[in-house]
Amino acid sequence: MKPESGDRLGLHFQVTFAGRLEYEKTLPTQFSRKRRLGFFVSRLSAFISLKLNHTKRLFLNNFCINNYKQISVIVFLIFTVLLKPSTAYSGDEAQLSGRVVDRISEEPIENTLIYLEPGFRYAETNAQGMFEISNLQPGIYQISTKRVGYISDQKQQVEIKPGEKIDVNFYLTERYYSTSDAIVVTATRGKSLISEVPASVDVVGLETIELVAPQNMAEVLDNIQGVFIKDYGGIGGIKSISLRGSSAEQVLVLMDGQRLNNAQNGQVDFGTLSTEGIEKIEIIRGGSSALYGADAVGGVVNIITKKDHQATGMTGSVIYMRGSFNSQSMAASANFHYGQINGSAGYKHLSSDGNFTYINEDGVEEEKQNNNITSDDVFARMNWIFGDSIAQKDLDLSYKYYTSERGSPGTTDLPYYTARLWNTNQQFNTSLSGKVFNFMNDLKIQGYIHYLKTRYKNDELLVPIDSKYKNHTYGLEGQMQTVFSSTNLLTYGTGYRYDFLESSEFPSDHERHTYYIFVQDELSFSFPSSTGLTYISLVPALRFDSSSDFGNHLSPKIGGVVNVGREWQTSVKVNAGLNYRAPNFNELYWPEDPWAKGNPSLNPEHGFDWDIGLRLRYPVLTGLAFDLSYFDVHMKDLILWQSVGQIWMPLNVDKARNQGLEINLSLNPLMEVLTFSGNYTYLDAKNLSDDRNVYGKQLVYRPKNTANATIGLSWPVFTIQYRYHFVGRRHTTAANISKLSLDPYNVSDIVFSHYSGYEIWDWKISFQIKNFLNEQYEIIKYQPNPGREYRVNLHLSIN
Amino acid sequence: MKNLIFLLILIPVLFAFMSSCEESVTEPEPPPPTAKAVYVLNSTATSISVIDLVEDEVFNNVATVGTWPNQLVYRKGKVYCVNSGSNNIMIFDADTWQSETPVDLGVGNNPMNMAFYDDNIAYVACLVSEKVLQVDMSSKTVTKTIDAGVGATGIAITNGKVYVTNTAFDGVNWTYGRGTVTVVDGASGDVVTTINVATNPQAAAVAPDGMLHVSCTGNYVDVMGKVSIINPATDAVTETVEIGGSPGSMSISFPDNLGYLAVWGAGLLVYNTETHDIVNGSDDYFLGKGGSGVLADTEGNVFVSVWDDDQVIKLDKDENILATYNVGDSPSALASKVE
Repeated sequence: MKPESGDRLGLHFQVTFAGRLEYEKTLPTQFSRKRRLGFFVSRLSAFISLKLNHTKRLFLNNFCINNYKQISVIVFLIFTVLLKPSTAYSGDEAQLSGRVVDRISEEPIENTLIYLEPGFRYAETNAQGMFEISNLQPGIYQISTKRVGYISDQKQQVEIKPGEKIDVNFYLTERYYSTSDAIVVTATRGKSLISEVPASVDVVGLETIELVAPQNMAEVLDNIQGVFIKDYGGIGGIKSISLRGSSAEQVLVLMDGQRLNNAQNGQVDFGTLSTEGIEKIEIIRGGSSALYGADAVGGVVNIITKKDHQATGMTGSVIYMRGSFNSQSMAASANFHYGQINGSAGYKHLSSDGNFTYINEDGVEEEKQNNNITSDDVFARMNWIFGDSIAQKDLDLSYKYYTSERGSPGTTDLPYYTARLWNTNQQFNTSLSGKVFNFMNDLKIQGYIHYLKTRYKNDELLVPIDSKYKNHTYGLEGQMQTVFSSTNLLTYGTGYRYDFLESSEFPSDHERHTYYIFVQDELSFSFPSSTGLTYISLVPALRFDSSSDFGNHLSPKIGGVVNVGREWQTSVKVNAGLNYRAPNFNELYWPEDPWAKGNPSLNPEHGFDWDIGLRLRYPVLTGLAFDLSYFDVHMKDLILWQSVGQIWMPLNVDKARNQGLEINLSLNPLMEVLTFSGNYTYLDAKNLSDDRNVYGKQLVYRPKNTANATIGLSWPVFTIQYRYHFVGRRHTTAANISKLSLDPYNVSDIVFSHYSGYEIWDWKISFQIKNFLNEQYEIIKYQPNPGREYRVNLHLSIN
Repeated sequence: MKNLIFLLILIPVLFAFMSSCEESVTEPEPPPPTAKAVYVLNSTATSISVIDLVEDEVFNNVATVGTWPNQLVYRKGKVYCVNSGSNNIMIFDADTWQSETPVDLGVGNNPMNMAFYDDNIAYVACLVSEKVLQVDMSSKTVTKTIDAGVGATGIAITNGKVYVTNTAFDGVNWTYGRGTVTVVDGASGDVVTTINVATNPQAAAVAPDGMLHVSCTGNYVDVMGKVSIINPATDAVTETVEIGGSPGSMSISFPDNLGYLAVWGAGLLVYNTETHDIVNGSDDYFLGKGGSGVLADTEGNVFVSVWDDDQVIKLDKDENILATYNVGDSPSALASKVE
């Protein structure tokens, strides 16, 4: 899909669909099928031609943000109106019906799209796998199927005569045999199998989250390939993320598609994100600005909350944790499902003294003080499915509230004993999704509010600080997915986001308006071969962002994937794209004092990245998974605070290049009893600044080598999991002075879990020893991490 | 069983591969001892470079220092580094660059500059605590804590007295109060008097005539830099040089009676310490760049740290560049060794 100017794309689609519907309704029945197809093709050509003309205009004219704003509102209104479904056809008596089932299990397959060519008639299977298309014109039809997770090679040709009723059954083959080939939603903004998206993806599921029993999100992510968590130490320490050598500001963090990076500093503290109410976390490695806009340079982390679709009734659970450093937490959650409404709600309280002992550089035991935390977390989500068949809509409402008070201990070199940090985070997210026009179009409208309040108080500084920041974000987005054919899925949408900052540190408030439009085309082809080429896909994408404070930005990307074999599946994935990181409010508007000031003229940081990956899923050792990726990220205009005369201000001066290799291996040597998974990342993150002392040096806090391994032993009611985490040397100075670098470290955790149950009660008790070898290490200089730590978790659930 | 053996072999192989990729850390060889050198504090690198003036050679990152290093001092075969963040003084052997146990000055002091009273006693000006610490350098203990003024920063010792400059910075309102100099008796450690000087006094140096020159930065906005000249005999300000700009650190050239004041990012302000005539003012900066550190040597040369270029430039008094040294990341304070 070519670039499109933001003020027209949505409207053109409406015109096109309206035109097609009109055509479907009024075309004389005596038209031959060829002429009908030709008519549609000519309409499509005209549509593409118009779009190309707009593309030219986009490059010729400077895009006007005010026009875009008005048009975006119109597009949203039209999207909303379009939620009313339409029926598409009226004609004579012939009818096609049938059933779709799994080839092996013979279970019915719901939500399979059945469509006929020519004529573009379609239907979707119900929960029993049944479908029906009536009012068909006599003729010969090609019937195709499309269903996420199944091979779209089922085509049948039928001849339908006037008044005839024909039954056609389909037996679909699942695309995958491995549970690691999960369905993800972040890589393409729609449901796709990992094996069929070009991006390098990892998914952390609920099972893993529950086994790890984490007290914050960082504890889940720290052994994911390509991820490096900068942990400032202890349960209450700040924890930021790096993906493929990026900075924390270059990783976009989403929760159910809602952006969490605040406009003030561009980061997310994973120490303040709890895992309560979370179903899974998707990690997309590599740039994704073409789909998500600013800050998706290193990748995207999308946290997806639970959406309960279980049996009717109510379930609940209580989890109690007690651990070292006088840590304890209590979490309670409940899920319900009555009729078309389901939901969940929960609460968690965490408290920890946090103070721990460590061995300092001189070998003396010291205590890290002022490291305590108290936090409360509330979440609630409600989902209402209403309407039937094509008119079915899905309304989702969720709310998350988190508040914490923590000590801010400073460094061991410069400790603060009374400094405090307060965070309050509120997220409200609502979405309405459903079919529009017909089964070919999925529309989702999402609105969200994010409110982040931070206060930092430190009386131990030369200039005592009591700074307060309030970040507000409001967003509205509309996204449509249209199936053009069995090989072509178009995803497109538009949105608006408003960021607002008020702070005691800034003399005036600051705001940012961002308008955007995106389009992605998934061209995919399935082949029936069981050993040769089975799937090929090409996914171009383009996004246009217009910001009120740093201008317009165009982010293209193209990705491709080729799958060979079915049982012995080999995949090759390739991606290339342009990405950017928006300057944050601190960088743009830092109030001028005698030594520093912000720079309102800053441009975004730019990145070009490409990667190529090999993915193997072989039936060796009862399931072998192997992934190998090479990535190469070129970054320029990196923002660096520089001295300009006597004033420090941020400038777009730095350059860097991150290259690396990612290797992942999983196998199950003894069926489900013994499992192994491991990954290794090599990162060559080079500073290409003009500064002679730092040119060619490894970027600070980017370890060249990281590796993780997990070995699990499972019996019916008992599991042991051993987790190993290795991080190589980290430089703390841009000049890479070895003596000031931090030594590599190995951390080993072990979890023993025992499961039991009685009637509707299930319980699990787990005993966890984190860092059981008592490694003394720092991830960040002068920020020691705790040694051996014990935790006991009691998990009681009612089903 | 075969699978298990495969796994047991595979895992060590993987980790052996991983470990082999890890870079090894080697300590740099110390530079050969020299009779004449300039030591450079590299602020961002938190390291020290040595400019060997005999061989005209530079050795970078020969030693590493603590958090927020602020000053280097050379005295009798040792190099001292005042770390304002680490609240300590690190001590290095100037030949071997082996470090000694640092002098711990205590949390919350924020030491900025030090000066030796004699071979054993040193005084340290502390910004946050607003104290002057008397330190026994042989036992590495603080022997006396003396009240100074708000924002105690610069320090110089002459005539048996310790002079500590107090910037009077008001961090709440971001303004500067009356600049003062606290005078302490070097032997007893008692405060003798307090002298009012110009706005924001940050550094002090003794001129060949024994007068104490205090570099007063101004408020960076509308109060320009001045040099307050104190007579140590009377502890009174005898003259004020309206030098302009926003000077920070300073150094005085004894052979030429020239005072060099460093202005960050702009260069140097130069004046005659006898006549008080301005040689290079704010409309005609000496060198025209640098100024993160300055040092005048005993031969009339001046060394200027250029933060952005990672260089130290050696000039004569006529502004002729004699040498340019590529040093470590972000050079600032300088110290000289002459034997």
